[in-house]
Amino acid sequence: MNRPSALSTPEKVSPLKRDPALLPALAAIWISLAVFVLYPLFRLFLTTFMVEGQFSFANLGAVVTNWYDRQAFLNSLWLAATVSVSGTVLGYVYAFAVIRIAMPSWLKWLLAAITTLPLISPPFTSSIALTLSLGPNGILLKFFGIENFSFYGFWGTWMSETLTYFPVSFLTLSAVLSAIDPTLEDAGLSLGASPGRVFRTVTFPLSTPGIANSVLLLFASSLADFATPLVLAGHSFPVLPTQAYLQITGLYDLRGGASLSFLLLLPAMAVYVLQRFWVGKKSYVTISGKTGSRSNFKSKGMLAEGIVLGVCFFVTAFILYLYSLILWGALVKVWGVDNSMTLENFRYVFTHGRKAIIDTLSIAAVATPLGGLMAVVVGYIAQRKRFFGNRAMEFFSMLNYALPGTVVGIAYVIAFNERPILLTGTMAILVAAYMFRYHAAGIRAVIASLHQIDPSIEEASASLGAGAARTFFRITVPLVIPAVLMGMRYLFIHCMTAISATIFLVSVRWSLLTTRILECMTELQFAQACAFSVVLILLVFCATAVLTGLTRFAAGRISGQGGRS
Amino acid sequence: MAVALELKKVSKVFQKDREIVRAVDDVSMTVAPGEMVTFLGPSGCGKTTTLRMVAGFEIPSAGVISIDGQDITNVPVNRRDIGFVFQNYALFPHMSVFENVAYGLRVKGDRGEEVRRKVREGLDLVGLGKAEKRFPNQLSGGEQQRVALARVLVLQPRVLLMDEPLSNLDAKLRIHMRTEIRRIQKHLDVTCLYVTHDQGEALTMSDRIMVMHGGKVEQIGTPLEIYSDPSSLFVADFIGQANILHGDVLEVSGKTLSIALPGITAKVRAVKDASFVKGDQAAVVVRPENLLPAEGEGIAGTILTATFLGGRMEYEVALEGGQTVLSFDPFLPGKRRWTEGENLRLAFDPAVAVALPA
Repeated sequence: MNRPSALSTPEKVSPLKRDPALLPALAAIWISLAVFVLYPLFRLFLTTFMVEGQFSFANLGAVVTNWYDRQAFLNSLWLAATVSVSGTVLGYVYAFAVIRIAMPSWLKWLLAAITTLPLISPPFTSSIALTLSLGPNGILLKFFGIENFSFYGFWGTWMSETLTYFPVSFLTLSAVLSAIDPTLEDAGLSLGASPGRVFRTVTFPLSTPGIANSVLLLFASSLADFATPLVLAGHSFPVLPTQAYLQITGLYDLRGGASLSFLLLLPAMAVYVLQRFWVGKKSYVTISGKTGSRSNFKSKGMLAEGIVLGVCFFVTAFILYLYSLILWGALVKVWGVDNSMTLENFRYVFTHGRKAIIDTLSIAAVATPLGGLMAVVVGYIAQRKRFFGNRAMEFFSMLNYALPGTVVGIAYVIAFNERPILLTGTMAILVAAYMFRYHAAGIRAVIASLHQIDPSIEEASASLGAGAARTFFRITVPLVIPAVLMGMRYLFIHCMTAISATIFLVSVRWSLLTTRILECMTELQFAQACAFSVVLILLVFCATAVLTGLTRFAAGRISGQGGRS
Repeated sequence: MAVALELKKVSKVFQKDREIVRAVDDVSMTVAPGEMVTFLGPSGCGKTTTLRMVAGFEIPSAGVISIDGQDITNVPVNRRDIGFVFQNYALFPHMSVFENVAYGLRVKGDRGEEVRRKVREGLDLVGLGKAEKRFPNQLSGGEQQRVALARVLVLQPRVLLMDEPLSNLDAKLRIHMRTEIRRIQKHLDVTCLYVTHDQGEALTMSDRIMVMHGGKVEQIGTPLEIYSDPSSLFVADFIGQANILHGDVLEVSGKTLSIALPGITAKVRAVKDASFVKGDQAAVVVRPENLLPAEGEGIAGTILTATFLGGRMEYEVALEGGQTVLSFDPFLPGKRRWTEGENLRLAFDPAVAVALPA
């Protein structure tokens, strides 16, 4: 029987009264959102639009009329557009190969595993390796005997970002492709269509919502990417995030930086809104509980599959090459000059970089559980409780995630550099920046997982006499733990590797591994940069392995269908 | 021991897509201690919402619910001392059968040996004594159902509420569980409300049935009353199968009416609480098992389909006026069977038919 799910109007007892624990939780969430999401953004707007106490477009006007800044805006859009297309194409090819082409399972695993490498690496990894290959004196250039090749600028940035972000597209599209029922393709074939025609008329149209989603995701990622252009774009190809950074750290022009980041915010918000309200609602993929016999995917023809596999193996080999270059770079004395092996670079990392390692790990260790807790509470309230301001709460908790890191970083610098909330130089500001930016994945996972859990499970607990707190901790939390752990893994990885927001917030007291890598790059200490990267990747890898194991363990315990509908 | 339950003018109003929906509209009823009352009706009639208000999952927009004379309208679920069995069982998937059944006992403050003893008793009661270490996903649907039952029974709730508990089981198990649930309910002498859309379930299990339609109560009565004295055409049509024959009232003598039906004039009992005068339109409810092929006088018709069901023949008959009726003729070897296209006359025993205002 269907019950109307909308809220009931003439309610005598408000949900707050029925759940006394809700009020303090809500207050805590809203206060923290106000301080760490709304307030910085508000201060950013103030800095952009208030000149001598008056509302004014003067700051923005200065930026827009500046030829170089305008170029940066257009470059950013152009770069994001090209990366979103190339990354999606590559992601689709990969997803198609892994999901749709018959190959040994270890090979599928390998392909999927290689694509996760860029996801857990610091953002500089491919930039460093590409510089070593194609930059001045790059080994690939030397190998092929190419001279007078300028890698810096659009091409280098585009290539590096495509390699860094296509795994996002791969994950999105492989989920969509594997959810398309192969019997639909069988139906097409049985009606007389050729495999190519079936792909064109059935498979591809069904995956368009996923493609749109992937394009938007990559557009946003590229638009916000800070690390890659900082290393590879150079002066001839300015983009907004680096431009805003240089404005602030180079010229100490907070207003200019704020205005630039406001320009960056506009397309980012447009993409966020588009994704949330347009693509989010469009999906052809239905998950029915039916476990009828699934047909096998039929071959698309040798030639098509050959091309797809060829592209995959070439790209995979290239990624592996880039990563081995990092490892090699970390093990030689002076890159390109003295190629003898040494562990000196790692010694450097563990002595001079020791503080950065410990700082980064402590920040991640503090932010991860806090973010996990926040994800459970926000996700639970957003999905299970109905009252005024719920949608807004969910929206604002995701906002920092949707905004480019540069924008968040600049907003934090402006907001927390002076009283009443003076946080500059503290660990708190770094933890807050990471947590409110990257707990979004956890919130989404918790909401999705609560969606799967029928509310009757919680009602059952209440009808057996348990109060709201007991139901929450004994029933709800154990059931969403796998989702929370997944979110925590995401948060941890980004605490270790993200740089765009936090580069504005590091101080003498708190440094980060990623900023150390950047310093090494700017001082042309490639070997040390490589060594830092290797250590960072290994740390992240170990932590993810632990969290993944925990997730599996937790998920295994509640894998039942009993009670789930 | 067992307690009474009362609903006084209970309503529930939802707002759905800016439209006001009166899901439950002014429902009043009293349940006697130890009685089993079934809420019966089609989807969306408000039966589940009513049950959920008794449980405390929903708060009534108006009206009062009381258990044992105590107003519990605004008491939270967990302090109502009710047991609720869900349509999808709602077993905790991360707990073993034992832990599921022990959950409520632990909430109440029972510890150690006492919990173990009560859980064992509860599982024995539903015949699942050996399954306590297993997890819900390792059980069949019927077993999960029994665990859900044991989980509430060990708490000895004052009122047992069941929301279509058998709708996810296969037909055979469903019939077995009907008698099982009824046996346990009587054995424990617990007041019970039971929601179903299956009239067979309602008729076989309940002391009384409350038929609901569009948020309102259509009729409350014992299964026999509901079946033989439906107070509305909706109830007549919803409970069992019914042929409804329309005719004019020729004569009224006390509670018996003479009604002119096509082909025959029948003396039919008027339903309770209805008054007729000569010349009124009446609707005569005739159950298919009462409308049989007859020699001589009867309503003329043509067989549309004839289906052999083993114990009986089912005839679909087109009457001369164009109406289609059902006739269930008990079958014994050698008895005459009618085939499609044959003309026949149908007659019924007026004593077991009932006339309603049309």
